[in-house]
Amino acid sequence: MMNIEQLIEMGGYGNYVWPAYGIGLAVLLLNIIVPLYKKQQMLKSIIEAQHRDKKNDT
Amino acid sequence: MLRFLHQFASPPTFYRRSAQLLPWLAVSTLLLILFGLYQGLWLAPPDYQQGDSYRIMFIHVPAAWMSLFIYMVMAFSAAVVLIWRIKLAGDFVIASAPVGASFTFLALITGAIWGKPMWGTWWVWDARLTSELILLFIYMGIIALNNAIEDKQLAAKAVGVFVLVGVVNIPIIHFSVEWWSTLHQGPTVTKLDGPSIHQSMLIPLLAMALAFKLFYFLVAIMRVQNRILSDEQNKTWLKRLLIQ
Repeated sequence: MMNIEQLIEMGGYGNYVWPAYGIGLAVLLLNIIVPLYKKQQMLKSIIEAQHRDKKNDT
Repeated sequence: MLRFLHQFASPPTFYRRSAQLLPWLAVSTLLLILFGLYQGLWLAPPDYQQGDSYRIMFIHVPAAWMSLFIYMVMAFSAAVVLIWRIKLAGDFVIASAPVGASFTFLALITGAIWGKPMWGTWWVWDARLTSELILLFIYMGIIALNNAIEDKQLAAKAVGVFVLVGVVNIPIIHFSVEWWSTLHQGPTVTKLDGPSIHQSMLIPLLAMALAFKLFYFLVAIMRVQNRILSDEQNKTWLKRLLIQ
């Protein structure tokens, strides 16, 4: 590649190459976001349950 | 060895050790992907036959390799579950399935996008493509089977058996380009007489392949940790860890 325009053009195949990379990026990001989100939800519910237990003890 | 395995496979130890590993995995994955993209999209020259369209290869081929690699790792773990009943191995099988399905999907979709300009069609029902599609269905079957069984120990066993039966598809995918006539090209990297691909294209290809492998372990560990969190939320070690 010589410059940005050529990079975007991809020798006429830009319409194929870039969507492929876009989908690749989306798949990778989803794989990271989903477990992170799940972990947050789980920690929240665990901590809430602990607080509830403490209240019941006293 | 077995004692070491048992010790490492105890959820508290694994949870703590793997937590230390995660940042290193994340950083090296990111650096390798950036390096691979720079090499593959900017430095590597266009192909003399396919022009710039061949650059799809740098995600298509590593994704397809991963779809097989992850399945083999899952099959190995499934055997460990069934023979030694190590719970963590079962967690690892379940945690791997969504990542495997993702890479299989990615291999299929990027293959279709590459096929359109090169073969003139998005899809053909030939051996390589069809067997890879079946692999996607197997991954989805594993996830569905695990969700369908409430009892976690039973689910791990059932999934283990299912995974081992599905192994039969792996050599079929790998050798499909040799056993049947197909539009899909044969291997250029994993050949006995060495890869027939120029270094400027081989380096980004291997960089992306390694990045995807690290990415897989990163996500699988995150998912195993989540399973440990949900299974052991009433255990003391976890409560102590969370209070810190």
